[in-house]
Amino acid sequence: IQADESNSSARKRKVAIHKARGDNPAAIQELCKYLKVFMSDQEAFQELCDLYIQEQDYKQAAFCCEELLLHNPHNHLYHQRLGDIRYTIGGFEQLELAKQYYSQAVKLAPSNMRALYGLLLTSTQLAANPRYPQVKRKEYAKVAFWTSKQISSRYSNVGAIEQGDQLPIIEGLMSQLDLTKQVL
Amino acid sequence: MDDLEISTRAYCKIIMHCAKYPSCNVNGVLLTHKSDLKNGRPTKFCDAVPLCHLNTGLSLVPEIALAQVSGIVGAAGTVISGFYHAHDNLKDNHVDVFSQKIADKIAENQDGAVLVTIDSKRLALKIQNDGLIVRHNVAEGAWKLSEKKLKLEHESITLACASALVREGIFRELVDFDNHLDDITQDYVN
Repeated sequence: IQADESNSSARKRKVAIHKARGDNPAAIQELCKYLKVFMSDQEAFQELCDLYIQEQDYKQAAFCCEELLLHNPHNHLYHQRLGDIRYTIGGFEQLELAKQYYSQAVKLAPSNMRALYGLLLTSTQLAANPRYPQVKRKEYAKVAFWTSKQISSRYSNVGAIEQGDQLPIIEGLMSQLDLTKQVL
Repeated sequence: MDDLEISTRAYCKIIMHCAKYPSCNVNGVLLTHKSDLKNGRPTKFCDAVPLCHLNTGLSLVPEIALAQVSGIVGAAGTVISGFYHAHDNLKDNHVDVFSQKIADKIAENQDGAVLVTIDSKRLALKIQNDGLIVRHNVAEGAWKLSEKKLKLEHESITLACASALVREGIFRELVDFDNHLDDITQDYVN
């Protein structure tokens, strides 16, 4: 690398060696140095995102994922992954952000089951939060209800459950929301 | 001290899951029949459900998977009694925080739950001994090595069975929860 600073494969090899030795912090450092030079390498950002998740540095992982999103705004997988990261960080502001990302993912790809489930979980948790005003909670409950219908219809389309039935998990979540009766 | 037993079915599924995704962290749950609970603690693991191999550091998919599996096992007369995981790195045997949290959650609901780490170094094409490290919940957040031995249901036959499955390539047909999310026609209970 000292001989030829634009040699990307040597740099990547170095990162891979650190990772194989289990030395995640060193791998992260090397990869950051690499990305300062080669900013448009998407796979490197993906790898860095994975490393940060393993180290549980979710804020940095979210940053990497946002970079990936800048390069590919229409890729629903990135939206869903960013939603996952925000959901894992926890806390209600993060949950709201997560819900937005999941919604976008669902908009881009309605068959993305993970995004649908993510949307369901975030909106039920937000709707159950007593700190929010009633109006907002109703909105969240509506979203949750719609999502649960989507998931159920997907499952019944492939014949896994009867038409009109619900998966046990959805029943469990919906019963937590006594608002649904009001929404109906 | 009772020995813990793991059925051929569960062991082979675990090995197949590891074989299918050798470059990823994999994890899954262990099930026990309600009738195999002694003093409320599991003595025999009859089945395993493979869960994730992608993004194992993120909490969404395991949450949904655990909820769904709980729903299914309740109806089938089994309980979730353990959690297994394996690392992508060959030499890695430690219990990462994430697996520990999931195992803690399982232990809250089931007394005597175990956390099994797959020791990748001991796995080979011809499996000589079971490559499992069993840990018990000693205190909140601390998982210590178990004094109980985990024995295979049919000893050498189980090992031979697992080796054959890996050799014949049948592990490619195993479906885990991540596969199910990508294509919901696939059944992750296998």
